[in-house]
Amino acid sequence: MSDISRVTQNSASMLMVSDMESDLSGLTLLQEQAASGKALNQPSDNPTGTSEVLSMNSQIGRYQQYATNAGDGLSRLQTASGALNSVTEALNQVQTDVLSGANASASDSSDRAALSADVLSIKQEILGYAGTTYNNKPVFSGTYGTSPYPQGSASGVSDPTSASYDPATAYAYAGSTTPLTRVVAPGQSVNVSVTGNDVFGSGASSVFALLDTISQDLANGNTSALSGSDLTQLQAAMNTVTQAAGNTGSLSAAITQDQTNANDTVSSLQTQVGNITDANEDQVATSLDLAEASYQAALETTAKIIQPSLAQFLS
Amino acid sequence: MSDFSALSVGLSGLEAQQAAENTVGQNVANADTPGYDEETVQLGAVPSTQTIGFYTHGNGPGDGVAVEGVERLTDSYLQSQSYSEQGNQGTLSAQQSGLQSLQQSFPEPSSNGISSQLTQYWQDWSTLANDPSDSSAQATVVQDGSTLASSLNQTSSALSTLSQQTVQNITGTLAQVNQEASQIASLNQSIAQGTASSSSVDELEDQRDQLVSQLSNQLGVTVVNNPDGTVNVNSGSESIVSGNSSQTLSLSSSGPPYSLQWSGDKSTYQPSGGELAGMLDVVNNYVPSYQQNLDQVAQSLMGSVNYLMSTGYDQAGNQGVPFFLGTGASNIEVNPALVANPADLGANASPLPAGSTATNEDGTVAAEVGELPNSQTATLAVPAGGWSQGGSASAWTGATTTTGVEADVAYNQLVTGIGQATASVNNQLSDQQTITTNVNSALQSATGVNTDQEMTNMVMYQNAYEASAKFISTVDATLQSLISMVNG
Repeated sequence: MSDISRVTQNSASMLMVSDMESDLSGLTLLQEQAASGKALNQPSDNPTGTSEVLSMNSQIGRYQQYATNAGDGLSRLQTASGALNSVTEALNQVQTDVLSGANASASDSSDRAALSADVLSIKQEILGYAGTTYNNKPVFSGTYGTSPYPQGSASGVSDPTSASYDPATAYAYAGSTTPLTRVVAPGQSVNVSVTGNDVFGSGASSVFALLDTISQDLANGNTSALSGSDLTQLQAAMNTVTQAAGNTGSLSAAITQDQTNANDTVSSLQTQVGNITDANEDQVATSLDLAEASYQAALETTAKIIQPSLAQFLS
Repeated sequence: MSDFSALSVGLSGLEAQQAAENTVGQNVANADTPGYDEETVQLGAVPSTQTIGFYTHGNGPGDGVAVEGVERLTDSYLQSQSYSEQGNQGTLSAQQSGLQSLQQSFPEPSSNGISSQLTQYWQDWSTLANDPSDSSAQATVVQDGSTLASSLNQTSSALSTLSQQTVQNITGTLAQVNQEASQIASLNQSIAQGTASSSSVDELEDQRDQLVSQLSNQLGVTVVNNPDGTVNVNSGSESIVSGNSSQTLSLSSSGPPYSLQWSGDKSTYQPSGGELAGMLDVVNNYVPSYQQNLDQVAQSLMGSVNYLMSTGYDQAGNQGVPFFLGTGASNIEVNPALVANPADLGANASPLPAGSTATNEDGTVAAEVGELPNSQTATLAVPAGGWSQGGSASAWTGATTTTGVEADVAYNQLVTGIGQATASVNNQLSDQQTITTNVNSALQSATGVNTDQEMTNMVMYQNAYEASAKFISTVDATLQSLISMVNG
């Protein structure tokens, strides 16, 4: 303005009003930030920041889901692990039965019959463990939502004393050989199940058919088989179950780590989003004080500058 | 010089000062009138007349004072600069208004924008992967997919509405522009007549300049001053007002792209300044380009999810059906067959063996859908005749695949683009407002009313009036003493 010699009241007030409007709009922006607590209220406030926030919010959603997936997988593995430990204990009992059966005298038929019955009941117990479910879905059936060893009228006869005994059908594995997987990190899916086929086998070569054989050998006093092939096969089956239990344990440990990682990523992303979107309260409060003070000063000064006119001094 | 002529000199002084006072009154009264330029009275001394005759008198002091005219203050340089800045500001204001409406259609970042809905949708798929036979997980995928699709529909329709409203605004502004042009032409005629008959046309010129200023804000114009006091107003290479004639502008019927048409030679016109330029920019460039980006988001969503569906199998062991149907953001919808039966989602990588009564717990394909946002690009299925062909598995026949930008990435680019454009126009407009205010203030300084100056003039003219009156009374006293001397 200094280079313009002539000044009129209206031109002066035009500039002052314009300056006050700009003060006021700055003040309003700060008030909005203070009220909402957000520095980023619309994309134009910070286009680059908006892009980052949208992308990070999307990542937060995904990593939260990874943590959920890992949690689901972990629960399944722990359920399977619990069942496998019970199976190991049950097989230990069978081993005890086999050893006492092999050493029992041939005349002690009632003892042998009791041992035989015990093994049969343990078989039922293990069939129960094999059908363990998590969230109403069997954990040893891979990707099929069905009991791994369905027992009942449709299946073959599982009573070894029966003439129509049919272990191939009775113990046929009905699940899938593909284990369930869960995505726990970008592009990384891990197994969250062991299949019944791998743990218990299928049909005539399954652990259930072995237990039937053992119970028959016990009933018949076939000590050579008991101390020979039965014991060897039982120990092999126990090894398989123990290995599967160990396998679920190491999978659990890995997936727990994945879950922790996903949760850490979520927290870290949330902090970064906060840094971009949240207004710095201290800074906003200070700037707001300054802006209010300067707006008031502008109002007072303008009121004083605009007032005087020669008309007031003429009588 | 006779004593009696001295009286008429005094009278001319009284009359001239009175006229000057009247001008002060006019200026003060119009101090706040928009477009009013300060007027000054041009006073001139009347030279003494040489009269040869019985009462011949020689070169005297003159025959008093006369009002030679009333002139208004003008500054044609600042005036034309003001027109031009008004035009720039008009363009930027219209652009800003359009972009801010656009931006409001994309409430981001927030927990209920399309971005959050996409994230939720992908999460639903991942949740379904954890329990593919669960009917509530299946229904959630379908429901959130429908929510997402209808958000895309609504946003697309908001863009169309914005375009329609802007076209209405253009039509309304054109009516004003045509009205103003015809007013300027008729004012030009009055000014030319007034100038020819030497009567005052100052107020008419003020009115006309004010109209040109409005016109420039709406259309962006340049002005050529004619010797007869009239102005020609040009926009682009066409003359909208030439002397006392004007031509009109109308909107060419269909678009986008929309353009304006002159009534004279029927040529089309894309103005480069004024609100009309900004509004045309909104309907011709901003809205179509963001609409296209939004369609890209919808098409990426359709193509990528549908492609994975083609690789999947539902609970009954059938190949998956397309999840989304439609051609773009305006009509994307979830396949009605899936809305009716969410169990038909192709969530699993392989079907169950024939005759199996088990549920399929695989969920690998659902997991792949949930993983889509991890990549910048996605494989898109492109059906032979668009996704509106039908929602059955036969839609896969003849479909090809292509690689495209992933939906979240496309949406992110869209929102960031709008944010950048809006921020840039906001900055430009803020700068332009400062420039316009400064130019207008400078123009007002140069040509407006300074009331202090008017007050000073008022006192000055008042004193001169009193002095003239005193002079008359002195001449009167002189004559009285002369007459009483003769009588005595």
